[in-house]
Amino acid sequence: MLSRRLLIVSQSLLRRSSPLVTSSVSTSSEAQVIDTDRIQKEVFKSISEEVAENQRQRLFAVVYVNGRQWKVSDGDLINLEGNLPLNVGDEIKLEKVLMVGGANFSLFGRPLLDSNTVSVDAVVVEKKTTNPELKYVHLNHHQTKFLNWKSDEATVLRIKSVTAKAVQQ
Amino acid sequence: MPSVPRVDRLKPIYTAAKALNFGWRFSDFLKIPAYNGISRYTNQLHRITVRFCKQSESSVGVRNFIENQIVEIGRKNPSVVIYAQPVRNSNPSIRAEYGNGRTLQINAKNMTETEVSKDFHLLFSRSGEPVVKLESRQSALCPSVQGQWTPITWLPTAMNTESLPAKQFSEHKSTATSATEYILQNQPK
Repeated sequence: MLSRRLLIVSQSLLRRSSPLVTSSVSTSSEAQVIDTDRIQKEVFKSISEEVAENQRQRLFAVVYVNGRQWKVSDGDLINLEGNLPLNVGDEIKLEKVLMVGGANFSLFGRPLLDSNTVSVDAVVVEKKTTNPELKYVHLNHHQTKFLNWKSDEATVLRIKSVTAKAVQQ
Repeated sequence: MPSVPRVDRLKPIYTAAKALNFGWRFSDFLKIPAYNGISRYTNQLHRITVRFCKQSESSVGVRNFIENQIVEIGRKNPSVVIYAQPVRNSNPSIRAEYGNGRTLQINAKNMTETEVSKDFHLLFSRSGEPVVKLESRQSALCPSVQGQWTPITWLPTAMNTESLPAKQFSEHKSTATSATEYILQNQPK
């Protein structure tokens, strides 16, 4: 381990011009990209094959809705807080996709993936009220009792499909 | 109201059995009946009945609602049967029947027209499942696509053949820089 570190240091000493190595303290070694074009092509090709329509692979995606991130896949139900400006039966496309994955690959956006490449379609299946939560206030010897019923509105989405197009270089 | 009771309702006997545990089922998972929305969305509300009194003051809002809005709503939702049922000296109520056999009823006593309209639309957008506390805000058909993570998922396979404890796997790993590493990386000029 130590000898490997020494080797890296000597490399960095040779390349004095790079500011990353000389200025900051870093325990990790520098990432080295080897044979980029060939490997990129291979990766893109294999992901495109995984994603293709005839494969019928189940994909999952991480989408940002309602102030948080959801890991969704085909047929999932998600319960969004609040009475959103949508009607029951409306079909929407969730556009803030942070990540898409299949059984054998994961694609991460920086921070978002292109919304044309990945599409997460959803339907509004229910709009309802949430189960009321009770807030009791009882002050001893003051003859004071309050009972608050707190209930909010909710919108339930069904994820229809998570699909991705072939990755382009 | 017709003198013969309506016979067009789908009310199988097991509906009663489902209503039995209505009171003590406090929490449930998020679900929607009839796989709704998986291929297409269908409205789960089948029929809705508005009961009101023609004279009493408590059903003024309901009467106004029927007069002004109910026809338009009926036109927009051709799949839903809407009944307006005058009942003498009764408290007004809105009763909705859903595809899963459940019935929801809202007491509309002394409600204004706006409040009645709001509740009417709420009943239209419900799926018929009872409102309960949710165990989770999401429910999935397939829990994991890539397989669930376990503590041994990403362990190096070199560990399999080694007899433990071995020195190379017992090293303390830390992100902090040791003094030796610091000197090696920032050599004095």
